[in-house]
Amino acid sequence: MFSTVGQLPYVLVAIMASICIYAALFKSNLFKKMLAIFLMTDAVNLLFIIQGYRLGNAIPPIIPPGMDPSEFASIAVDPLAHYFVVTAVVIGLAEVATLTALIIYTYKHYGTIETKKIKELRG
Amino acid sequence: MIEMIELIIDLLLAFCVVLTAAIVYTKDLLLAIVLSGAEGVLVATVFYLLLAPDIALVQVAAGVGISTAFFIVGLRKIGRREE
Amino acid sequence: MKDWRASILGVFFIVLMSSILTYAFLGYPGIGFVRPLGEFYLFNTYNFENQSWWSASPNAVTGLLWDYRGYDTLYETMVFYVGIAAVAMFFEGHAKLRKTGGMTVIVRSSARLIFVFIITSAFAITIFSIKTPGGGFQGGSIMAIAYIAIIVSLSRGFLPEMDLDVEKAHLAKIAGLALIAGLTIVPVVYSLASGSAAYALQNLPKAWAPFGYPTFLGFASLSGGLIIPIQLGEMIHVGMGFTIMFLLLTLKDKED
Repeated sequence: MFSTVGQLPYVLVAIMASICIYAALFKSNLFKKMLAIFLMTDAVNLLFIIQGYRLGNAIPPIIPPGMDPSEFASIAVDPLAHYFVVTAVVIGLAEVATLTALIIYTYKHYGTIETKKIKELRG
Repeated sequence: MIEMIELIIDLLLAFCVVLTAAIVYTKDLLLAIVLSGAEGVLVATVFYLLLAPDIALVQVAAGVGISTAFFIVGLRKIGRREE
Repeated sequence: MKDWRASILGVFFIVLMSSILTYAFLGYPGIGFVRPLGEFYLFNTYNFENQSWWSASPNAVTGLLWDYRGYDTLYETMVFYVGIAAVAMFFEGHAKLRKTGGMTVIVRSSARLIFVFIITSAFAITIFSIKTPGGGFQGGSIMAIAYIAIIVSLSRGFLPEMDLDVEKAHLAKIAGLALIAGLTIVPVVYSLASGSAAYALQNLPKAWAPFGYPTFLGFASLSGGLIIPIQLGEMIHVGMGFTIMFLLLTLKDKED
């Protein structure tokens, strides 16, 4: 059964990730490649969270006072996906900072950040 | 009510796709950075609607604030136009 | 002509790639199904009846971060540390900050006031992360935003006025890391001294390993053992790490 509500988010996230893969592979500008890689981490994080979601009257993975743990386990969303994404966002940002430093260094060395021109310069 | 929230999530994700395509298409890198900040806000909203408040917090702080600052610092040194 | 062909090829690549990815993603069980491992964490994270498996944290994500999957987070912290080291390698030796004068008293005091507000919210998000959304990574990002807002809106030279320069930021970052490392090693030292079993990064007592950090503080408020102090260390590490990266990236050309 194909339900629009349940499966359309996967399709949209897949389109987003593939646009970013295209840009990271075929764009000539290094800065544009870095933006595409950063947006790809967003798409993958969305995939994780959509995967951990639960339909119906779900609650966040924080137990309200006085609730029975077995009842909580049957209605809350998946905390494991949330755990992966919390660290992935911060690590993705450290990656962006490292790439920015590399791009500044490349610009100082070659005077341009277009990969086509850099290829010509190297002969 | 639940179907309403799912519909809002689908719309926000579709808007994210449009913004990603615009970021890849545009030649103006400053515009691309601003659009990526807007995309981060949309993603944070989707995280909140999908019952993940922890990640909405970290996305708003890191994915919108700090990343935009890093990108603009990088852009100041390399020039604004893409060829 | 050439552009036209390239864009057709690009659209074709995107369509092909997205259909492959859609096929892969739809192979997962659909929305509405939580894996048994996730249900295990949800059931045990604040379960008074089963105290040999609990993490004493009503927020399941926080319990996962530093109790159930503590080693994962420890290595993520190391990855972040390597990222800072990589940025620092490019700009090594140019990190002196000069004081700038000329700010009026009103600008200085209002900047300090807003800075104190943001830092307070960062600490609150970190310390109360047991019961409410938040944690070390979130608080650290907000702390870095406080410093970055100061640098962007005023100048880099304003940071020495707030008693921070690159070396002090490095020292604070290392202090946060040392807090994490110390809390990781304490159970091992206890095990060696007493002869009973305990594991590195062990939080609460298990049936076969009696070591445990205190679950209830003096004022009868719940704390998840080592979770709150280790989150504070993580917050200082992440916040200072982003601040150092931003300071190094904003170096002017004439300074290097």
